[in-house]
Order: sequence, then C-alpha cells, then structure tokens
Amino acid sequence: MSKERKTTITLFPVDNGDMTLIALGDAAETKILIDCNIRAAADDPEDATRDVGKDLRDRLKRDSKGRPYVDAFLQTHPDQDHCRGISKHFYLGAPSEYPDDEKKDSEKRIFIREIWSSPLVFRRASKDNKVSQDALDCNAEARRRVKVNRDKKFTGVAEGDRILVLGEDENGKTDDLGLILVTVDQLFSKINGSQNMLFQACLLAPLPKSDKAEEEELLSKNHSSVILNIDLADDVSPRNWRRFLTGGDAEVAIWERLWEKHKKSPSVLAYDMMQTPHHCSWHSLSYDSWSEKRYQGKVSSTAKSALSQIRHSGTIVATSCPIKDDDNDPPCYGAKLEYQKIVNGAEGKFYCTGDVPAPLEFVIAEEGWEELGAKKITGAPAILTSGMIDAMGARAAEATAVKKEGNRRYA
Amino acid sequence: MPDAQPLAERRTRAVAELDRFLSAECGAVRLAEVDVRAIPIRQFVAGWQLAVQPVRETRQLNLYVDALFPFSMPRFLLVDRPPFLTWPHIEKDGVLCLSDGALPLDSSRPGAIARDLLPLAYQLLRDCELGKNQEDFRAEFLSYWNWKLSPGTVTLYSLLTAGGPSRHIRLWRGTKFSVAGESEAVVLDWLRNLGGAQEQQFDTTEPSCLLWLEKPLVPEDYPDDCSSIWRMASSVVRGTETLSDLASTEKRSWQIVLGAVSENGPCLAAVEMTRSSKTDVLGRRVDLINKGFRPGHVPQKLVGQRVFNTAEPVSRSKVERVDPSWIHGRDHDPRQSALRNSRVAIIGCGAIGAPVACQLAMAGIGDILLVDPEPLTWSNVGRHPLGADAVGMEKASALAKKLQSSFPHSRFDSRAHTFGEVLLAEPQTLAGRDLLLCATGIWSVESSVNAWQQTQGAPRHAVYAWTEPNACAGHAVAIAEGSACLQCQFSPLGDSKVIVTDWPQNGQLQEPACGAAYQPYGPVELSWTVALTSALALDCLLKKIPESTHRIWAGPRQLLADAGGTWNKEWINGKVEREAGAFQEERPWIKDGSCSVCS
Repeated sequence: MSKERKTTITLFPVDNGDMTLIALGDAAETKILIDCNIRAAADDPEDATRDVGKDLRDRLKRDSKGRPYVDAFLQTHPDQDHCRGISKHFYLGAPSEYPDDEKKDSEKRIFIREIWSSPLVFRRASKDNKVSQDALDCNAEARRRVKVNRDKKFTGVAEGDRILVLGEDENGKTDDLGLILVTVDQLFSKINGSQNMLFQACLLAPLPKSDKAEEEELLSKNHSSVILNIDLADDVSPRNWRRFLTGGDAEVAIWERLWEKHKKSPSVLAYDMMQTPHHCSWHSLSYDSWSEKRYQGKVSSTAKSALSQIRHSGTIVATSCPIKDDDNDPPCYGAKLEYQKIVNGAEGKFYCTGDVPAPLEFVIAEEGWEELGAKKITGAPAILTSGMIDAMGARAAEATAVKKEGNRRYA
Repeated sequence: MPDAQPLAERRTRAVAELDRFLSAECGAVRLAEVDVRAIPIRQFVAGWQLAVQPVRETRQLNLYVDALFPFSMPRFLLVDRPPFLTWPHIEKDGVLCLSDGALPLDSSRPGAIARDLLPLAYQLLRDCELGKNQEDFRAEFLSYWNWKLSPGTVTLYSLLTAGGPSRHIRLWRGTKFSVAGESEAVVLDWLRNLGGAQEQQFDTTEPSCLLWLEKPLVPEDYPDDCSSIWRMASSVVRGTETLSDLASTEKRSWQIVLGAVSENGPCLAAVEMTRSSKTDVLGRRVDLINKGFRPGHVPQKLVGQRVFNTAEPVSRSKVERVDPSWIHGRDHDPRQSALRNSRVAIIGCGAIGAPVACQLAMAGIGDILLVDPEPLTWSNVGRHPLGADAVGMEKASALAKKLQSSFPHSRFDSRAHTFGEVLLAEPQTLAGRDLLLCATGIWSVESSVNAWQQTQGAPRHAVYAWTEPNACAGHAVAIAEGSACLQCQFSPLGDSKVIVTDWPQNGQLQEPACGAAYQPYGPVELSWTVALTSALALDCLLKKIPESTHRIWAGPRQLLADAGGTWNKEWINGKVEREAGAFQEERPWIKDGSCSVCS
C-alpha cells in the first residue's frame, strides 16, 4: 500500500456540531462523511469562521465527470448541527439530473454515492421537534433512494441512488428492504455496493422501537442517534485494526441501555477513538442539569461504563466549542473532566476540535490513533491543556500570586 | 558575617511546595540536577518538565527557578521549538519572555506563582503557533535585530532625527563606536563635547545615508547581502537615488542606517556594505562600474545598482539613539522641542545654582551659560555637584565642562566672572537668553539683574532663588516681562517681605575668617529649594508664567525645630495648618505702585 494512502479520520472544527470524514487507505481512497455542519459563516469569505466546506472539498476526489463525491454519507440524526449545509453543498436528487457539470469545481455540489440513514431516528426526532429544511431534504432524498431500490428490486442500483437503511423502522415498514437494511448489532463492510477490506462497522443504535410507550418516549428524548463502532485499517493485517466509536447526540439513557445489553461482552463497545456524544454534553453521562448542580450532579455509572471501554492509548475527541469551566452544556466542563479521567486511565489523550482552528486529523499508530503532525515527548508527563490551566485558575479561590499588569512603582 | 542560609532554607521550602503543585496539578516531572545545571548562564537550581498542547502539537515546556526563588520569577523554557527568531518572545536558549520586566510576585505562595504564570506561557505559545504575534517582531524590532548582530561590529550612536524621509547623513567611524548625524558639524561637535575639544581624530566624517522603510523588518527580512539592501532601497521613495549617491565615492565600504516606525515608536539599525571586487586571470581588478560606458558617463542610478546590487555580504550592527529627543523623555516628552531651543543664563553656581543647572541640563535645555567668579573650595564640596577633583577650579567653567561631556548634544558655556563684569563686557550674551536665573542670594547681584532686566525688557523672564537659614524654607520668584519686578516685594536693602522662619542671631554662622558667613545645611534639605527653582524655570521657558509669581517651600517642622528655628508669626498668622510645614505654596508677586525700579 502506498504510504500516502493512510486511513485517516478528520474531525472538522464546526463548533458544537459534527462533521467527520473517514478516508480509507484503499486504492479507491474511499470516503465516508459522518454528518455535516457547514454554517453560512463558513461560506462567507469575509467571515473568520473556518471554511470547512473548502476543507472538505480539498479532501475529496473527483469522479470521471469531474464531480466531487463521497462514497457514503452517514446522517446520525437529523438535528441541524449534524446536517446544516447539506442542501447547499451536496446534490440531493436523481443522479441523471445532476445539474452542476458545467460549473466550476468550487461550485459543484458534492455527489453522494450512498446514503446511510435511519428512518427510526428521523421518526423519533420529528415526533416532538420541528426538524430543519436540511433534515427534511435529506430525509426526502433517503425516501427517494429507498423507492428506487424497491422499484429496481434492489439490484442494479446505480451510484447516487444507493442507500443503507440503519435500523429497523416501526411496524415492519423496513422489513422488505433486504440487502439495504442493516439491523442493530449487525456487522457490515459494504460501502457503495462493494465490500471494503479496510472497513467494518457494527450498528449499535438506534435501539429498536419499544412496545412500551414510556420507554419509547425516553429514547426519543435522549436524542436517539445512529451509533456505529467502526473498525478501520491501513491494511488487512489483523493487528492493525483500530476502532472508532461515533454516536451522534445519544444521551445517558441510551448509553445505559447499551451497557446493560453488552456488559457481558464489553469489547463490543471498545474503541481506540471515541467522538464524545452530543458535543461533550453532561447529559450523555447524567440525568442532572449541569448548570443547576455542577459538580454535585450524579454521573450514571452505567452510562459511563459504556463510554469507558477505551483501549490503551485511546483517544477521545470532543467535537464542540472550546470547553470552559462554566455553566454551559454542551460543551460541559464536567463531562470533559469525566472523559479526561477515562483517557488518563488508558494513558491516552483528550482533544477538542474547538481548541484548534484547523481540522484534527488522525492516522493509525502503533497503538491507537496518532494525530497527524503531533510529536511524542519521550517520558512525557501528562499533557497540560488550556482547559486544565483555566481550571486551575478558576479553582483558585485566593488572590493571584503574580501581578500580571506589572509594576506600578519605579526608581 | 552576613548569613545567606535563611534565604536558602526559604528557597528549599518554596521549591518543595512548587514541586508538589507541579506534580499534582500539572503532571510535571522533576528534572535531574545535572539537566538543570546544563542550561548555560541562567544559573537555575531546580527544573520540571511539562508537556503542553497549545494548539496541535504536544511540546515539552520546562520550568526553572534560580537561587533567589521565590523572590525571582520562574522561567519557562520551550524545549520543542522552531529555529531561533521564528517565534517572537522566545530567546535563543528557548526561555520565554513573558513580560517587559520581572513581575511582582507573592513570594509566600510559590505554587500559586507557577499557576498564575502558566496561562501567560500557554497563551504566548498558542499565539506563536497560530502566528498571531508575528507583528511583535516589528513592534519590538530592536530586541530581535540586536539578537542577530554580525560578530565584531561596533555600536553606532545616532544623533539623527528619528524619522523619514530617506536622506543623506554624515558618519564618523571609530574602532569602539560610530556616530551618525544630520551634518558633519553636529557629529563632530558631539564627539568633541564627549571626548574633549582637542581630540585630533574628530576632524572629518564620511557620507552615509538613512533609508527610511515603510515598516520595521521581521527577522526573515534581515539583510544578508548588498542586494537585499538595494531591494529595500527600491521600495522606498528616493531610496535608490540616495544610496546611489554613495557609490560615486571611492570608498570600499559604507555603513548606512535603516529606520522605520514601529507601533512603539521609531527604531534604527545599521548595516555595513562592501564594494564588490573582481579580478581577472592576471589578478587585475575588473572595472564593474563603467562596463559598457565611457568612464564617467554611467548613469548615477546604474552606478548604484552595479555597486550595491551584489551578493557581497553585509554586516548588521546595533544602533543606539543619542539624539536629544530620545535622551530627554524617550520621544514622549512634548516639552522637548521648546526646552531644546531654550537659552538660559545662570548667575551663581553655588549650592542652588549648580544643582539647578544640572537639573535643567537633564531636563533638556539646549543652551546654558554659567556665570560665577568663585573657585570651588573644600567647604563647598559637601553640597555641590562638583567634587574634590574640581577644588580650586572656577565653579562655572568646571561645571560647564562636566555638563558638556555629560550632555554632548547640548551646549554649555561659562564665564568665570561676576554678573556685572559679564554685563559690561558682553551684554548681548545675556540679553539673548530666554531666562536669567539668579541663584546668588546676594542682593547687590539680584537688584542689578532686576534693574537690568527692567530697563532692557529682556530676557522675558528672570528667576531668583534663595533659601532661609538652614534651608528650612526656600523661595523661587519668577519675574515676568511687564509684571511686578523683584524690587516690588523687597525692601530697598534686600529684605524679602515674606519670611517663613525666625532665628536667633539671624541664623548665620561665621568661619574663622573675614566675611566667611555660612549656613551648615546639607544637600538633602536644600533639594526641595533646588527642585522648586528648577520647576519654576521650566514653567517660565514653557510660557506658563505670564505674571510674576512667588513659590515658597516650607520645610518640615522637625527640621526647623532641630535647627533651633521657629515659624515666623506673620507667616503663620493664625493659620495653624501651616505649623506642620512640609508644603509648597504659590502666591502672586504683587506690583508695588511706588516701586523705585518698575513704577
């Protein structure tokens, strides 16, 4: 395998939101985009917000017609901070009607070869909340593709019409979907219709619809999302597989249920890298309100167990604004401390996309994932982050010991 | 014998507390003593290794303390850093500059000191890594330029007005320093004033130029060869023309000055350029200038290009400004222009006149004439700026010489004569002054100065200064043109109408000699009256005194009591708050309608 083609995970700085690109090190350089959050400010050249649309385009290949494309687009759930900009930057519609072939490259919408979508998640999200136009457009495109698949009896479906439906919908609505349906706990390694030797994902959620209205209500209110635990590799050597756990905005009740379900085989939840659920929200770990109870809030040990299956030298990344010691949630400082405890126990590392202006990129390392360009310090002590420094200052009740404004007496 | 042990014990406790904080809160690892001592020059005694991640990269950041800790600031040293001068505020050995000077520390809380400094270090590294502070290279140009000087160069002292445009200047070059100025006269006068008028080597200067750039250079633009200077010259108005004019001289090398305005004010640097010399196979020098032209017919700009647009290396040297604007107020004293152009005559160079002369010289007065016929005696030494080495010399000339070498950009003249003698011999010398300052306390001199000023109508101001016995009170009176004269508030025999203190036997002591009355006060008590006088003189020169005025310093009551004096009853006059003393008062100097001099 060429050294230039390394399997890479790129997490874009989109404040509180998700946009993650998996680039496989295979010959086709397969790309999987998980969620999208390209804000209008990022499109404005006069605005200082990072132009993540360009960051993404720069990482995509062009097909034979010159269209930028992703092999698969996963929408974990339809919140706006997970699908913002999809209608503007991606082509949603029949591939034969792609309208941008005559436009210059920077104006061509990104072609989605295959969509990974969950009707159950959409149903739960839209039950009590008004979903955004981007989410509606995305859902309409998923429905169009399902119809094409049904019409073609799931054979000979072309790129641009392909879809994987993640999780069974209610009332047997997805029972006829056959090969394009992925059920919970199922492993799959097909991307855009082809088996990929460097990719294998296990669908952990959305948890199936419950017969109990109260339970179903709870799952809806806990930001039901697609949760995937993905094995990725640079080559097919067994010892080179690394796990990436991504769970949208799933909150505490969902993680509790996943732990109850898998605690006897916790390796199902094991990861080398985890994207903190819901942008480092306290509600993925606790039922309490962070702003009301702060450090007195109770962490659900069950949920935390589900999120603690980190492997040695593992990485946790908060995809959020910079995390400060304040009442905000998300991102929540208390959650960050909990995740830091988890990485410290594994001698791993915690990152926040808000701490850096550029996308965070990771490649497979000897152990876990290694940040591209990062340097290792021999015999390194714990890494002192800005959050830790802020916290030290915030915790210090006594007066400052250094007069930072300098001297006011002269001689 | 003094014992440093208590400080060492304090340091041991402070280092232990710092160690607890750094290991518990920051995951730091204590460095071995051999590694701590390995940092040259700094004399650190303890150090810790931290790992920080300001942006993306994890970097090793060490923290060190020296033997004075916790009274000295801990220093951060960035181990993982780019080449020197890639990032600002990081010294060659990696030590971070977190402030302009040592920050005040609470030495009782060593751990908190580190806790409070960490955010500063972290923010600096973050700004560095994100490229947010690159402009600091320009704002603090002098520090960074001076870190990249060529070896063996000497400092250039600049008398130049620190501003554009690019222009011709003159330069004197010595083995220990060089001097640049706007003209040969300015440069040579300065050198002679500094080193003595007879110095033979101060007889000529050479042509040079100042290239005034749009903004200060950043390290990557520091010139290495002549062509980079030529490019700079090409980027500024009249740059290449000014530089080309130098090429027509026969010199082998030129030292020129580069200047620009930073956000913290103007800054200067010097570079030395060398003429390129090429020889043919026979060892003969190739004429690179006239190639293709008849000798003398090469366009001037082309000459400059051929001489300077070469790969000859340049050497970078340091410039220290010695121009008046910098010396007096570092470009931030708005009074300097007026003071620089002021001409003052000081009559009497005794215990008041001499220190006042020193203060006015330090304040930036451009031209001072000192008049005093007396030589310095041993009894003067205790309260006079001139010391034992000037005993026997005339106070006026010795003081002028001392001030001249101290302030070579200003002018000091002296007349070892009485005021009357100077007045008779060269009245124009006195009349041409902006201020006459009479510090004799001798009525015959004061009244003659007053009479002369009143009849001449010049100078515009006169200031008279004196103390009362034991320097327990001091007076400074400014007489403004067209206002009350000195005589208006004096008796015909020279008694002031305002007296602050009373003394038994009039407060005078007598040496065992004829006419040798004296006062035993020292320079400390006198300093209030000196400052009172100097301040009033400056106010006159800055045109703040339209009417005659009287400033009085009343010394502290204890000083008066210790010397055996009492407050004058008319001075107190029921105002009990005056009895504590130690204050300054200003009152108008009222015109006397029956004054024998001005009415």
